[in-house]
Amino acid sequence: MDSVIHAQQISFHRHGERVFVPTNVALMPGQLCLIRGQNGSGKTTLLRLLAGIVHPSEGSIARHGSVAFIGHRPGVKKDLTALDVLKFYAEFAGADPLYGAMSPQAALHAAGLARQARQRAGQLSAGQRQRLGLARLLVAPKTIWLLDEPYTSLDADGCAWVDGLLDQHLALNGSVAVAAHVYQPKLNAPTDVLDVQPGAQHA
Amino acid sequence: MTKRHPLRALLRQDLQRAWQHGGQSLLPLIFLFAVIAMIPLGLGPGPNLLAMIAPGMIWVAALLASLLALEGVFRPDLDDGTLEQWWVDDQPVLALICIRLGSHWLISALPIIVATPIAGEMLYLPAEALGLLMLTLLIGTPILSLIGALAAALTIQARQGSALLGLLIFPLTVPVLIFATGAVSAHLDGLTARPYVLLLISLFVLAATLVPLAIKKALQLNLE
Repeated sequence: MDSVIHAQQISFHRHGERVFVPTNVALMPGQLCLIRGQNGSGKTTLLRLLAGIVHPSEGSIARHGSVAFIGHRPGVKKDLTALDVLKFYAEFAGADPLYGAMSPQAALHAAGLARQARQRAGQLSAGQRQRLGLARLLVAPKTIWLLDEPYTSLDADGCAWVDGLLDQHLALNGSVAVAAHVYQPKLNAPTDVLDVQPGAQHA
Repeated sequence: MTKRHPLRALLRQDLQRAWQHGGQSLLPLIFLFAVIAMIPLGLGPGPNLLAMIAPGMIWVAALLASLLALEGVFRPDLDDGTLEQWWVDDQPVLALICIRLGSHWLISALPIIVATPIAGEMLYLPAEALGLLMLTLLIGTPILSLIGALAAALTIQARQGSALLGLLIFPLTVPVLIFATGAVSAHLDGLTARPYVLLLISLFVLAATLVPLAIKKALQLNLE
């Protein structure tokens, strides 16, 4: 099978310096790629490159499939209710026909936020907001999931829920790239580890 | 399976949020009427004088209302991480920018245009100038939204962005103000307003074709 993301020797330059050492990424269907690295090593930048939000300063990227990206800011409008946030993403991003989309209500239920449906996202706790951000993977499912520190602020239940989501998606031949530096996903699917090396430093 | 309609979704969300922030959305109107109620107190209520300055006053109110709403055009979206979603999965970024500009205009300028007949009446604006004044507002306020949004996109990361915004925008809006109020005074003086209106239209066409592209580039630079 062909890779859904194929990146060759990509890197990004900021202020004339490489953020990380040029890296190859080959993400296969049904595969999880765990992106590791110290703080500031460029994990976030690499994910944003893979998502297409920024363009690589060197190297090339080819994508085959729909993409969902969840950054460290979960993309949740604080003045909307939890339900309206998911309704927005269902319409804004749409669902890839390869995967079954949940209704916003069902997704809230799955995320453990059923009782918070009518609450404004600003009133939710950080962990609940993170769950809400991740729940859009259910209302607007995509082939390639690019998740930047998805376990941030989640409790043990939340981490297990995310692991379950990942396993389910990988079982459906979806692909996931996760940047995580503390929690390690506990999954059944094959996991590939990519270590990001910070770019050359000035002496 | 749900098909995606990003433009519709964004427009709906923008209007929904404006509706929820009822007080904030009424700000342009409150502004307009505050200006109009204060001017006669400062200048004296002579009908001739008020009629003369009415177009300018209404235009200044429109300009300030447009500026007030600019803080919310892109910055909140950058802060909460929704802006970067515009660049994911081949979304039509340019069209999304135009939708956002459109909702800025609907929220900040349309209420003023709708309220102009009342404001004109309060300032003894001659009835025959009203239509023309509304026409200049209709052509000119989108230019204000375009210029303002470009400045907002450029200063999105800057601290004290709003002060910078004002400095950047006011000089650029001068031609709009001159042609718009010039059209109305020419008409009141018995001359033709045509050249002024045509100049306004050409300014609008110029801004509408170039500015969205520049905004896209500016936002992209700020996402890096």
